[in-house]
Amino acid sequence: MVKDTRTPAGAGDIRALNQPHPLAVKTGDGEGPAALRLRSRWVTVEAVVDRWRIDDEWWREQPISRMYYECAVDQGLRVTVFQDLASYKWSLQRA
Amino acid sequence: MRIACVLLNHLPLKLELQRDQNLANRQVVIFERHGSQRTVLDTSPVIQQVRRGMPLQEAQTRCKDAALIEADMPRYQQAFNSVLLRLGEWSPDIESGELGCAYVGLDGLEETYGSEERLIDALLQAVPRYLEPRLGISHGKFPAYLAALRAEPGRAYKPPLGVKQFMAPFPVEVLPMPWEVKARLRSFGLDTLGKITELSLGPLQAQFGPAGTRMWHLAQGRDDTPLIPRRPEENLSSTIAFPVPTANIEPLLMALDHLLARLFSQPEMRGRYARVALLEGQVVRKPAWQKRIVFKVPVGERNRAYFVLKCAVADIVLPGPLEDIRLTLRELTGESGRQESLFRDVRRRDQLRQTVAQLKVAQGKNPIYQVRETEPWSRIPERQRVLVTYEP
Repeated sequence: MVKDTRTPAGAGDIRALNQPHPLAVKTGDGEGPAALRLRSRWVTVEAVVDRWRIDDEWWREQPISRMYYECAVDQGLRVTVFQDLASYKWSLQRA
Repeated sequence: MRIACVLLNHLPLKLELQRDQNLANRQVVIFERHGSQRTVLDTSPVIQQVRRGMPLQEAQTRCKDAALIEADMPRYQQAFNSVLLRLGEWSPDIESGELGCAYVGLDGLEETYGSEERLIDALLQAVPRYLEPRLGISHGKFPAYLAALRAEPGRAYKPPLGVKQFMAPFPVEVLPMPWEVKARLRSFGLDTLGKITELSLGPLQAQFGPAGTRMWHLAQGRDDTPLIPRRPEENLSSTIAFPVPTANIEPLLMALDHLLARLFSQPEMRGRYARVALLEGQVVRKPAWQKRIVFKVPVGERNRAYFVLKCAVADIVLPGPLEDIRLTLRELTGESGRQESLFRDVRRRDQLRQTVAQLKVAQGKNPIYQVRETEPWSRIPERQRVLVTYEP
């Protein structure tokens, strides 16, 4: 039996990194996003530089299935977003 | 573990009555400030419709004629700390709960004191009589607390064997939960612990989350939270009274210089360093004033400490004329000097260790994190790395 260290339980010592953040996205006629809402303003996606799909953790109740897009927005800034293929919600994340 | 709960009901009120006996014939509400909010801390026993934690505005509508007193928390805490010190002379396992409530571990002490009854008598005698201590004994902190509520002033009480049946009639106000949770329980018609035990765990969890789980277990008489003994703190303090109450900074600085000279000349301070200085002062007709100063680097000599305190108080505005000033040096280290390493990387690590220790004292926890790889091979980005507290 593990000895009680009497330290209060909590996840304070480990923090998640690079968590996805919900993002408002407008899609166009083609595949992928056409505009992204960044810092309270809409930014046009000039080009989708790369795209890839991940399917993982199939054994869980909610498996991970995402379509990632690396987008070039104004002045060459690169932003990575993904669409959850189960819920169809968009999120912002560094790949 | 067998635990005794020592309960000092209405501790703030009793201390205020000691200060001003005219309050004995009046209804009193003591409130404390949390930023812009004011909430009730304590009331006269005759005021039944006002509870601790209630917003002061609501309390005033329920009790219009009550005298309002702002809490003097440093004074209440000091009185309570002196009670804890005296209890600590009888048992090494003392945990401080909320103000006026202490838990004492009883296991293994019967042989030392002859019997549990002798120990209980000693614990009751350790508390000043005017505070009217009540003692409750049970397995677990929450049942011991309820037993203390049932005890007569100056007496001890042990619940009968059926703890759940003993606890059933108690109102939900005794639960260690925020006031808003208790108000919601009442709105659902759950006004006693017995009614909570009639429900299964699921509905309470669904409605209240982790608080629902905890209240269900507590209502059953199950409290597995361990007794965490308080760490004895070594402090040095000294007080000086002003001949005339003053709100000016110059007399305050002169008093601090004098107090520092007194403290650093004491044998206990020889070759040691302090991380924190606490200034406390009685303000004329107002609650006590308090300021906590954390030294960026532990200080072991008077002039350096004075320089830091002078910078810290230079721009403050005192809440009123101070009658006295008390300086306490806390978090004393055992260093007898600063021996630095010959090797640069070891010196750097020592510096980091000192900096992290200072930040822990200033902020209560370590705010420095470092990135560590957990599953760098994972295709899911948030699985690849985490932030872990940095321990040099």
